[in-house]
Amino acid sequence: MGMTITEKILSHAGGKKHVSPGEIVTITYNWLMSNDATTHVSINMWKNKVKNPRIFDPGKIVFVIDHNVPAENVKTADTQKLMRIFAREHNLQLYDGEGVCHQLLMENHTLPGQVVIGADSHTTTAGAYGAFGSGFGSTDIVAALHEGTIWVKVPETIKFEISGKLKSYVTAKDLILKMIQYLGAKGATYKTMEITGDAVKDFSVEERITLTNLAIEAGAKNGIIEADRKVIDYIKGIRGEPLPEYTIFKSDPDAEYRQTFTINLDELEPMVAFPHTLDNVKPLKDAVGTKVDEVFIGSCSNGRIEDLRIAAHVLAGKKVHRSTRLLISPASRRVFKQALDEGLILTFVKAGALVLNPNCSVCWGACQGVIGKDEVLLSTGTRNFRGRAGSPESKIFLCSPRTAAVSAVTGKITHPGEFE
Amino acid sequence: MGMTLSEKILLSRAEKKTIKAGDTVLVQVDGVMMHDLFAPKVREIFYAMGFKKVWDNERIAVINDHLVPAKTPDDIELHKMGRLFVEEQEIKRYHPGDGVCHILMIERGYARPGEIILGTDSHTCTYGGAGVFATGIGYTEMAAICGTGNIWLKVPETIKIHLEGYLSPGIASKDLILKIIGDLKADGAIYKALEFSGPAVAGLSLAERLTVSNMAVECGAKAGLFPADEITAAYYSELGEQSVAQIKADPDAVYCRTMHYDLTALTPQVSKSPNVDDVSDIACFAGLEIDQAFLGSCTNGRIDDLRIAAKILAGKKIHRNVRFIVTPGSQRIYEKALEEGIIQVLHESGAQITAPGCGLCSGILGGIVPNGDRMISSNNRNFLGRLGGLTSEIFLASPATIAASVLTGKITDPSRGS
Amino acid sequence: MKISGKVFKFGNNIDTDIIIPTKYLVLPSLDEMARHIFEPLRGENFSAQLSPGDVITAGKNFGCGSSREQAVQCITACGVKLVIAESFSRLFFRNCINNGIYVIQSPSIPGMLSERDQVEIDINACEVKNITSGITAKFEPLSDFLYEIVQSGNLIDYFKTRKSW
Repeated sequence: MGMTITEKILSHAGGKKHVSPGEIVTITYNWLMSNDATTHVSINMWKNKVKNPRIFDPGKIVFVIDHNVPAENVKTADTQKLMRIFAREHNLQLYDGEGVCHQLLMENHTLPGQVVIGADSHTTTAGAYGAFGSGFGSTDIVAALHEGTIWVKVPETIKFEISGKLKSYVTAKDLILKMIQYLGAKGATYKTMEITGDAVKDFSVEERITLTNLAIEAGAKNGIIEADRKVIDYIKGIRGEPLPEYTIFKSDPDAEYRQTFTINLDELEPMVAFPHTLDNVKPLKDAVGTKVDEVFIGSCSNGRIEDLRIAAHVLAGKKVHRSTRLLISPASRRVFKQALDEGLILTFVKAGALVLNPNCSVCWGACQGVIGKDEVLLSTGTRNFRGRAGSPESKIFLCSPRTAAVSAVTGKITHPGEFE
Repeated sequence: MGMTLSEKILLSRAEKKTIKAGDTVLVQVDGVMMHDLFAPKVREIFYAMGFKKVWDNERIAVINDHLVPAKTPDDIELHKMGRLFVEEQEIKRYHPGDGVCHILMIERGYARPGEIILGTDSHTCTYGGAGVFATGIGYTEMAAICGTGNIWLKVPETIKIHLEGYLSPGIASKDLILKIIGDLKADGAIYKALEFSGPAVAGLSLAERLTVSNMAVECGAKAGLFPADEITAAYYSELGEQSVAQIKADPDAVYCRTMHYDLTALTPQVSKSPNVDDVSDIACFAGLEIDQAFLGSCTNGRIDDLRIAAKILAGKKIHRNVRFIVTPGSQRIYEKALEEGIIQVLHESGAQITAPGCGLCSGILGGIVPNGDRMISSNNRNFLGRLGGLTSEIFLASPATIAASVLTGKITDPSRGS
Repeated sequence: MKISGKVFKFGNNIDTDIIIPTKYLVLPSLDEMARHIFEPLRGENFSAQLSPGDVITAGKNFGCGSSREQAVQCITACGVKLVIAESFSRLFFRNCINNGIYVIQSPSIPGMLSERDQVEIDINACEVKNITSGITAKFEPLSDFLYEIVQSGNLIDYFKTRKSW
C-alpha cells in the first residue's frame, strides 16, 4: 500500500521500509529546537532527573532566545543567561535575539525530508519544505536530547486539495484560517494536514510557510507540503550552494487519506478568527467596522519579507490612525535587514508604526506590545486565546498582513478589497 | 547687581523687581511635561484639588515613553488614563508613542530658551542645554501647576562651570559631565544650579549641551543651564521659531563656587555602579570584559549619538560575546537614522535595534541585565538593581566609548585609535 | 505636635529606585507598592517592620534619583510622618512637603540615631529626643509656608480650600 509524504519521512527516520497510521515508531531527528520560553525547565530536568545526562548529538541542537527579547525583567534575563551558559558548555548552536525560532530553522537548518522536533507547538512550520516538524513537551525534549531519538505515533493524514487563484487582496493566511474553520480546533488532532493541488504549487515558499505554521491550530501533529524546485531555490537563496543532502518525498498515488477537502481559491474571501479561539473563523465582512486599539504585523506566522512588503505597500504615504497603535516586528534579523535594504522600515516609521526588534513580541504577549482591558488587537500572529496578548478582558482577532495594514490606517477592521 | 542665568529667567516670570539666590518666588510657568508613569496621578490629583480646567491646554505635554511598548496590561491602564486627561482637557501636546519625553520636548520646540518648564521626571533638567530653566517635580505639584499655571521655587545658588578648550577626537560631552559629577559627587549641587560658561561653550553643539544638562541632576542640581546663543537660535530657527531669546548671565553675577575644566585635557570617563558619582578615568577599567551594551535614552539617544556609533562601527562586527541594544530616542530620530543609513550600519554590525522610547533606561523593559553580567551604557543612572539584577554591574560612558567597547568585547578607550 | 517611634537608619545617596523600584510603579494601589519599600536593600518584607510614628533617617542626599512621588507616598503608606537626613535631594524634599511629611535636615542628628532606637520628636519645640540613648538635639524648623502645606495634610488638601498658592 502506498504511503503519504509524512509516512515516508517517518519510516525513513525510523529505519523502516513501511509504516502505517497508528504505529509507534522511534525516529532519529535532524534538528531539535528549544527556545527561552521553556529551555530553563528542560535544562533543570536534564540536570536533575536524568541519570548520567549527555547530549546525544550537540550538532543537531538549536537553542533560540526569541520570546522575551530583549529581556524585560531580571527573571527572564537570568533564564536567558542560563541558556547561554548551557549552550557554551555543551557547544550548542545558540541564536540570541536573531529572530523567531521557527523562522531561524527555516532560514538556516530545515531541509526537505528531514525531521524537526521543537519544544514549541508551531514547529509544524517545517512542513512547508516537505519536512516533518512537530512540537513536544519538555520531558520529551529532555529524553530526545539524551537519546538522539524520539517516539511518535504515525498520524493519519487529512488532505486539502487547493485549486484556483487568490484574489489580489486575499492571502495564504486567509486560506489557512479557512482550513481551520473547516476542521475546527481539534479537527486534525494527532493527524497530518497535507496541503496539495495546483494552487499550492503556485504559492511562494513564504506563503506555504504561513500555511504549515498554523496547522497546529487545527490540532494537527504536522502540516506538510510536497517540496519542489521553488523550495530548493528559496533555501539556496538564503544559505547559498551547495546544500547538504536532502530528500524530496512525494505521496504515492495510492496513499490512504482519512479525509479529503477541496478548496477553490477563486471563491475565497478574507477571513478573520474571532476571539477567543482559532476555529472561530468568519468572513472578514462580519468583523468590519470593529474599532482596533492595536495592530500587530509579525510573528512566525506572518513576519517574513513578503508580509512586510504587503504591509509597506498599504502604508506607503499613509499614517496609522491616531487612536491605533501599529507594531511591526520582522521575524528575523535577516528579514529586518532585507526590509531595511528595500526601504520598508523607513516606510513603516514614516507611517507612524512602532518597529520592534525581531522577536515573538505581541504574539507571545509578555514582553512588548501587550494590550489592556477592553482593548481589541488585530494581529497576524498565531493565536487569539483569551488573555494571550495581555488582559484577560481583551479581544484578539487574527487576520492577514494586508487586512492588518489597512485596518491600522482606518483604525477599524477594514476589508482590504474596499481600501484600494 | 548682576544675575545668573537662573536668576534672570526666574525674575522674568515672577512679579518682583529683583530676586537673589535663596528667595522663594512664585513664578509663571511656560510649559509642563508629564510622562506615562505619572500622568494618571496628575489627573486624579488635579480633580481632587478641586480644579476643573487646566490653566493652558496648549502648554501641557503628555508623553508615553517609559511603558512603550507596553509589557503588562497595567501599563495600558496608565496610558488610557493619560489619554483621558488629554481628551477631557483638550491637551494639545500629546505623544502616545513618539519617543522619550525629554527628547521630544526639544525636538518639537515645546521647551524654548528663557522659559520655565517643569516636568514629572528628574531629567527635565535636560532642557537647560537650550537655556531653559527646567527641573523635575512630583505629580502632586504638577497637578497644582496644571490648575494654577504657577509654582513656588527657591532661587538656587549657582555653581559656575567654566569651560575652556575643545573636545578631542573620541571625547564627548558625556565625558565632561561624568567628570563633573565625579568631582561634585551625588550631593555636591543639591538645591543649586549649574551654569556652564566660558569659551568652550561656543564649541559645543546643542545635542552635546543637552547631554551635559541631562545629568546635572546626578550631582543633585536643580538645573544645569547653558546660555542660549547663536547655536541655540540656529536650532530653533530650523524649527521655524525666529524669535527665540538669546540669553546669558551678567558678567558680575554672583556664584557660590566656580569650577574650571579644560576640555582639551579631558579623557574618556566611566561611572561604575551602583553610584553615578563613582567616576574614573577609563584607564582604570579598560580591558574589563562586557556582556552587554546599551545606546539610547534621553542622555545619549539623539541622532548625533547614533552617528558617532555608526562611524566607529561601519563595516565592522561587534564582539560575539556582546549583546548590543540600540534604542533611538524618538521616531523622528529613527527616521533620520534610516535616511542616513545609520540604522543599516548599526544593524549590520550586530546591534539589536529596538523601538524608540526609554527602553532599557526605564529599567522595566528593553534588555534588563542578568545577574552577574556587566554592561556599558549611554544612559544616566546605574543605581543598584535599576537596570538589572542586584549583582549586575553597570558602567556609564559616552556613545564613542560604547561603540569602541562593543567591537572588542572589553571596556575600550575610543580616543586611542585601533 | 509630637511624633514617637522606632528609628530605621539608612546611609548616603539612598536613591528612589531603592525606596521603590521602577517595576512596582505600575501596581494599581499604593498599599501594594508599599510592600516593596526599600526592597533592594532590606529584602521583601521590610514594610511589615514599620509602624505608625516610626522615623526614617539617612545620610547625605536622601531620595536622590527620579521624581517618582511614590517613593514618598510609600513611606507615608507605612505610617512614617517624619524623615531626618543630613541632606535631601530637592525633588524628594518637595515631594515630602507635598505629602505632609515633616522634614528635618541636620548634619548631626542622623549621627546620634541608631537602627531601632526609640525616639520622640517635638516639632513645636524643635527637639529630637533619643530615648534609647538619652541624647537630645535641636533642629531648624521648616519655614512657615512649607509647614502650612505639611499641616494641611498634603498639597491636595491645601488646594481644596484655595484656588491659588
